[in-house]
Amino acid sequence: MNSLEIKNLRKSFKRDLFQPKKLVLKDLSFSVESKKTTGFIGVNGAGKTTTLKCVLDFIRPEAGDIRFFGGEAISNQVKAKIGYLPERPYYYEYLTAKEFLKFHWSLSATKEDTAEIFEATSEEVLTKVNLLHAKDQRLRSFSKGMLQRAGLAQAILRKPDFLILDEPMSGLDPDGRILIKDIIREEQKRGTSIFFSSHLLGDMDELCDNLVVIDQGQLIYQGSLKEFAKGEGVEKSFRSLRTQLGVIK
Amino acid sequence: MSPILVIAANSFREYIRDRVVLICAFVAVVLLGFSILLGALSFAEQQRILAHLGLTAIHLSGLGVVCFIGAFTMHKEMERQTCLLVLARPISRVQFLVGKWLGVFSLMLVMWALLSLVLAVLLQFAFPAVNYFSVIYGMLIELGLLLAIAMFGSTILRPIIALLFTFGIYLIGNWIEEFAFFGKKIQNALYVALSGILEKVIPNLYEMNWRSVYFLENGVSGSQILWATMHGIGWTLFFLVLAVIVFRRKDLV
Repeated sequence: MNSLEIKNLRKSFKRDLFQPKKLVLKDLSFSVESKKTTGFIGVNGAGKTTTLKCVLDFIRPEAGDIRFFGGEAISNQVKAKIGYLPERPYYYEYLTAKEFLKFHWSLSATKEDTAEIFEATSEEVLTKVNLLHAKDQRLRSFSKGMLQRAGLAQAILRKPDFLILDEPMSGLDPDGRILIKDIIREEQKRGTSIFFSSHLLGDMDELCDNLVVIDQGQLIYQGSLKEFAKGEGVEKSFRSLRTQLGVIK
Repeated sequence: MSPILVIAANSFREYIRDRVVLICAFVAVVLLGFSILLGALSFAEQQRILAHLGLTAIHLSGLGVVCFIGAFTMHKEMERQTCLLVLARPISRVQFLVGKWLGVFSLMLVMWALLSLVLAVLLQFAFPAVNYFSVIYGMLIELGLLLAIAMFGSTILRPIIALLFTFGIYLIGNWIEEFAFFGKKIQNALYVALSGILEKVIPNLYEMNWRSVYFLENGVSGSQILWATMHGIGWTLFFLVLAVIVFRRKDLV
């Protein structure tokens, strides 16, 4: 079963009133296998973030079909099974880390929820992302790395079936990247389907089973990482691909 | 707790920690203090001056919240993309927007209640309670409606333009009766037609404006209160629905 299936996704944007629309996604189709980790690669402006925003219904595509978990369209039931980390960690800065988690916990409340369960889960998640010491600090005082980790904490808070992470490692120091990778590995062990975009191709080598590569809103490759990397690593294969496309020499 | 209430509670917390609210409350307190001082200058009119300026202070603090929080709130959410994480949760855009409105309205409600209580104490409960409550109730209805207008504005306009849009409707809405009056007086067909159109497309805020000593002394009739309530709720829902329609169609790029 696929956790996500995208068919013929098309989206264009108008920069201003007098310019023609620019096609950002051109009949993009791919799928994300369940219980596998899929990397999403593309250069800046390839359409990765736009795709992820279409998936989560933040942007309405002009055409195409997006299905989750073997055929469901986006709904509150589907969203309850998804954890999401956006590219830019902008959160409500006046909240403390714990209040931030409480807010997100309450937004996807279930009948079984109790204050004790939240306390235990939030402590567990904050420990995982190494923010327990800062749980009562306002997000305003957090560094970029801490914000990224707080964002990841809210994404895994409800133990989602499907994690969508947009550049989870961007702007992190080496320790922060190691921590995020460890969390992704833990989620892999739990059987979570993971779909994440990154420019750090070395991380793809380490973490992914599959890859989706796009360029200028079009699918370039979809399949297993091993097949793509051909034993040479994702970065080298990506370079060869870009050379074939005539973008780099 | 329903998602709307969760968002409302969070927005309330957001704005209660915001300096803008403190500034609005501070301005209201300064105006109340000023009204005591001014009232002290005139022994006979002391209470009337205090009442008049006090009601203005409460009204201005609410208007400050509407203009400086309401007109910025949705735009800020979209511009800073703080709404993305929330909308990735199992809630709809409608719930999000209504929750935000409710959050800012709750903040106004608390400020309104506290300042009204302070003014009542300063006035030593000199006016009949029903009259006093009717007068401040009119203010609340008007502010709730202006907040919906400001939030609608902030879904489609830049914050400053949304603020001007809200303030423009506030001014026209309060002068609507004068427009109609002058139209009849000068007997200019164009002016009469224009004031007729304004009456239909702009909420009549003048009919909710009971901020004067006259109404504190004589009260507001039940039919006036009922009309203002229906008019206010109707227009509030209208602008909230408009805001929802715009926000639902919006690409959160």
